[in-house]
Amino acid sequence: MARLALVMVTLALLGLALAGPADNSLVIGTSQEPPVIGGDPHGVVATAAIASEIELYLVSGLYRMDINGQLQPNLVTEVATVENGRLRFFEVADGQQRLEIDLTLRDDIRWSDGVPITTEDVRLWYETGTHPDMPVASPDFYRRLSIEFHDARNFTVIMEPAQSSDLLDSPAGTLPAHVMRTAWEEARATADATPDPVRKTEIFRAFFARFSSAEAINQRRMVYSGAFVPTRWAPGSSIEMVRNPHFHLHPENQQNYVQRVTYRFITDTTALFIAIMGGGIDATSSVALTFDQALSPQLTARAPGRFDIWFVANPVWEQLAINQFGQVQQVSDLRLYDVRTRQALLHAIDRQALTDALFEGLQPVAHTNVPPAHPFFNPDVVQYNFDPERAAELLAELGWTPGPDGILQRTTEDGRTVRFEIEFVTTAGNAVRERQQLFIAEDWRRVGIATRINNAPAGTVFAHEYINRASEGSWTGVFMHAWVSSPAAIANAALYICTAIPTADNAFAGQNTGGWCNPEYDAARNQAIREFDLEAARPLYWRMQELFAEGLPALPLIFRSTPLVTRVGLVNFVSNTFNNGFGYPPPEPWLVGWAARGAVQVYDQADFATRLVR
Amino acid sequence: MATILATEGSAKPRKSESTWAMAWRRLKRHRLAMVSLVVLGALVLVAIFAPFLAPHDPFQQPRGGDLRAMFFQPPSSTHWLGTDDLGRDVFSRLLYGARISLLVGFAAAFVNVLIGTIMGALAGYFSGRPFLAFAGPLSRLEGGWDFPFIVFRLSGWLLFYGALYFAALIAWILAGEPVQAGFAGDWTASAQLSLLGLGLTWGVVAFAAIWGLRGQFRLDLDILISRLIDFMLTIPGLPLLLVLSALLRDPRTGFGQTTQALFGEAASVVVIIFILVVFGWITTARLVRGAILSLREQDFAVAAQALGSSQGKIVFRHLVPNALAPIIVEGTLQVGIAILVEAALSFLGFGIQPPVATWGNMLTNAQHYIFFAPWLAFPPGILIVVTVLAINFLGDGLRDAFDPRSRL
Amino acid sequence: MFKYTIRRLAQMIPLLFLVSVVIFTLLSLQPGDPLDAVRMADPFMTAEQFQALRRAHGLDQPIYVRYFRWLGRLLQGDLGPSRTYGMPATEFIFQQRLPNTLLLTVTALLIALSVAIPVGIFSAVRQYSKADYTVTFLAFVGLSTPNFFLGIVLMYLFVIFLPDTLGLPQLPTGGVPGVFWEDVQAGFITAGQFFGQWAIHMILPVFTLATGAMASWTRFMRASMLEVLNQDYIRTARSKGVYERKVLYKHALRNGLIPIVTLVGLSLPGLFNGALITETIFSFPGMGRAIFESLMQKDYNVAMAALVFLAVLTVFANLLADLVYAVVDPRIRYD
Repeated sequence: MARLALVMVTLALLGLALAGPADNSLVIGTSQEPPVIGGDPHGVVATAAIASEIELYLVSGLYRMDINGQLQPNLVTEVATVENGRLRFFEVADGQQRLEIDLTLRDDIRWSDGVPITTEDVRLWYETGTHPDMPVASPDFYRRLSIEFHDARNFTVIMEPAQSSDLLDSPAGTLPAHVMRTAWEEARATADATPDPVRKTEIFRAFFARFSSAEAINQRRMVYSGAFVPTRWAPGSSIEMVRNPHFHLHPENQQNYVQRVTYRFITDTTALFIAIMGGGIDATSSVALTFDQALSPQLTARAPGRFDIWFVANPVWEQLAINQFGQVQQVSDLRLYDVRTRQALLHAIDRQALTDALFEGLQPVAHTNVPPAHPFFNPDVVQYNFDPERAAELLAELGWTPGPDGILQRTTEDGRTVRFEIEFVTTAGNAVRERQQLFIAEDWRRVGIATRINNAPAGTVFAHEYINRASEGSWTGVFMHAWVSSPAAIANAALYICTAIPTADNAFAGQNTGGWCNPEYDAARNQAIREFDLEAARPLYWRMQELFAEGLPALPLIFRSTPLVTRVGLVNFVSNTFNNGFGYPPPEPWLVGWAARGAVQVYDQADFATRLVR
Repeated sequence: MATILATEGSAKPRKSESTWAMAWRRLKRHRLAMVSLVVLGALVLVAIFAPFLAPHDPFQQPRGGDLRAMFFQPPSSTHWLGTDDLGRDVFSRLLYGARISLLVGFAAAFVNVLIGTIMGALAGYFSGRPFLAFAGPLSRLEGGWDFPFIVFRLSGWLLFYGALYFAALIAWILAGEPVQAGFAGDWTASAQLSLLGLGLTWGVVAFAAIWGLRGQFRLDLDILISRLIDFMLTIPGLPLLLVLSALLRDPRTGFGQTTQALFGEAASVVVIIFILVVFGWITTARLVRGAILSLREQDFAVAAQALGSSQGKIVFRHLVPNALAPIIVEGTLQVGIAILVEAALSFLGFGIQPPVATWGNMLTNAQHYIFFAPWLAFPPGILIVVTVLAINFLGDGLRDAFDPRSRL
Repeated sequence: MFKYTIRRLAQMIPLLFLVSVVIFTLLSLQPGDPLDAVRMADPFMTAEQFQALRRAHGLDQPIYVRYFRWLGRLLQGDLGPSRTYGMPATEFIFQQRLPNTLLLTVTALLIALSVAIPVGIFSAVRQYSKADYTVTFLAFVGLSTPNFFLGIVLMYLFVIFLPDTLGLPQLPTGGVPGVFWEDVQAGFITAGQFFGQWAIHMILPVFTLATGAMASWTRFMRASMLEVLNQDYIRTARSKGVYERKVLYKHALRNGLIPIVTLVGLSLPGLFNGALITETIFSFPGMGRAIFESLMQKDYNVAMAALVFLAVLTVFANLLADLVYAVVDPRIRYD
């Protein structure tokens, strides 16, 4: 019996190992499973990064983002620009702007059942998204949106008041009217008839879930506009997709490229790791291996000739938020509101050693919140490299002297002696973060700063009553977590403006949790978000980064990078920092293929990432 | 005369010995238990003297030079069990971890036994001795209608039916308006809920009222405590402990603030001891209850009562000491259980937090790094096994030692 | 007996009601809002929009309203949607997760029994022999090993060490195979391959879960058999010259098995608790892991549903154990 099992397992593994090029299929491993797929464009049922990644295969947007982060037309004939007259700005009251975008749908686009894609599909997307009771994930966008339809292929999107981030993505989306319209009318009627908001939410969620759940896919209830269509979703296990015959961007000789794509969900990263080593996975998704696993000798020893291990810089920015509200006792004792204290804290951390020791130098040190791959990156800002003597100088200036136990202390104005003991909060249960935290704590200890660690699970520390109430002393020192420096986030630059400070007056809303305020920064930012001309905007964003570096609203640590493992012989499965906004591979799913089957390589990953060489 | 002559020259008569001396003498013959005792003693000593025995500071991270090479080192002459993911000495952390694990184990077991003994003794002694009794108007009851029974019966009805009335009244106050509005035609969600709540409450009240006509019940401490035990055994244990742990340690819940304020640095340890006690007292309580139930009928207990000893004295001076043997055995075993549960909670991330080392949280990290540093997993795990094994053998040996029927 | 059963069932209802109240209260006391992830993702959400979102999910009501709303829905069979997965919690737990846990737990139970009973008997019959001491020692070791440590050791052995040194194929570290019965029906794979794949995936988790039960049940069986074997009627049978084997199987075993029956019933909830840790380590998509993750992710509908289900299971398991005990042991009579 054991022998039989052995033989079967070997065969199975062998079989899987040969599968890729042999049957022109692609197996992608991921550690997250999406809640729903393909029919929830407004994020009503759920939002998940892995869903956005898988939908690259299933859903075509009006635009698509290429490997360099540039917008290209997908469902529309051309991207709206000022030059081709499709993009227009108007000044309206209060210095606000109104943006008009004329778009024309291509005439060769079809849903996966052959029905042409028309403005009726855009209309359905628009109606569902702007329904007043629809619990969308980003309500502000829909509030500013309106669309005028001219005919079956032409429509105009209007954003008022406009933001520069509105130009960074597709202005609208589509939903198959011929499949969903009837159900939508019913759902809307039922929802409008009931006054209970909870019931309304349920009705709408059920409506979208009907077309995007595993059941929907297995019963072929939905149609798709992307290069692939899903054929089967086995919950907890995998999603299978095959080529959409009606897709309009297939390459020449499309039979040379992969015909079937399977996403395998293996939530345990150890099990995923084993599967990759065993050969059952051809490529990893953006949420798959941990950094350490990609560096482990187990994987790197098996790699040569089998697969390539890449590290792609991603827009996730790891930083230490600092409480700068002077009314909090510990903040005023430690003078965290004084920029020199923050500078000292940063000088005391050997960030290069941290990334070298923990990440083999593959996660670069950050000096502001803007990643190097971003077009507005300013390389000439003040840098706070590891300099414990300078840190000691700054702290001495502020009145700190070493105490009997090696920890700095000083006497406050009201005669108390305080030790430099700073509270350090981060997400519990995250091994990488906890390791970083202890490393930083050790660096601080060596300059006389004691740390009081106070971790809790992500759900607890990111709770609004906790993270946004620094002004009331919910957390009193530093809080280590990450922000995603996506193109939209950088463009909006809402992290450190004075109006984003959570206080009792604005019901503690806003992301400027530390409470840093620099009017010059605000002025530059307010001008920048209304500047739709990139060249004019650039100096403003540069100035903001300079001010960040001088004023240190937060202590920048590192930019993360995502490991990407691809089987040797797989072409065009590449990733870049801002790929599709967040670094999801691949930019053009219809071009992914095996060289052994005749697929032509268009993109070389080496241009966008670092290969791990052992 | 003949008897004395007969015993001379043969075996010397034994002095009478106390239970303790007998148990100790028998225990000494149980080899495994003695070995375990020695092992445990050694562990306790190591834990106490950890600061002197540890070759390195368990929190010390290396700096300067190629740090990456200093992490995950395999065992060497400087680091007897290698280094961990931050270059800290594993052996030293193991020694300091012993302090926490053993401290938590002994403390939790002690509190468990204390609370369990008190609860069990109260339950056992007061079993069948109600402090509250109710008998409905139509039920059969001894004493009938004579004074003073009539006073008790009447006051019982007053309390019972009065409580029912108030329950119905409060339900009406809370839910009456929306329900009336509903019947007038406006069935909002809150009206429906109110109807549900009202219906449920009045249904229960009606049922209780009818039952009360013929029913009787007595309430004694045993019923209360046994019901509490049943209730606690129905709640899923481990998930509840996770929830409680998160609640109590959280930076800014009311509970979290209180624990931080009261205990400061030691908050984590205190919280986990508390959590271990929440469910841990139950086994001892059951054990003691059973023992007390049988002991209280014995002559010495009856005599004590006849002689007018107060109830407290009877329970804690006479009864409990006679049940001490199984309590001690149970207490010993509880140390092992506490160590295992603490390790499980710390492993899941809900126990003692790093950088403080316990054997449990050293295993969490080890699982993460099992591919490049598997040697990190074995020392803490093996130590847990050895410790708990020794405790179990000792407990087993104690049980045999106290039990005169077992062969030793 | 019938009246006893009815009475027990009636007592069950207020007990479960109370348990659900306690669980609901504790979950509600947890800090943090399930919608915080949504809020963090949209920097421009204003306070009113967030309040509207909270209203839409019913989170602005006081706790007792929320509890009764939950209770009302429960009576209609609707346990609410899972916030993480979008699908109804009942579907998620009962269709997707529970069958896996049942498979794991029942297999572990059967394996533990099939080892514990014979070994326990063997050990009792040869009391004080070397074999008995070995068995007792091993049982103690099994009791003293935390199951997460055992899981890690097994994982290391069968996934890294043995494959590296002996070249054996690696066992999967968890999850379930991606094959379904429909595949067998459609002819993609044979039934043998289907069961084989499932067996390979389940070996490590089942063994990890079974070990603890195996150890304690072996000791229990041994103790129970010893007690029976020391009874007078056994001595009588022996003195009458009945063959030892007949003594054992006909007289001793039947009586010795009685306590085991109740023990198994009472251990069922404990097995589910152990499954929580085992499933987490091996990433097994079962109910234990669903509970753990839903608590971490604040998916309270799932957590409530699963925990209340566990409580119901515990109560029924107790009742069943008592009833079976009464059936099997003629000395017991309830009224």
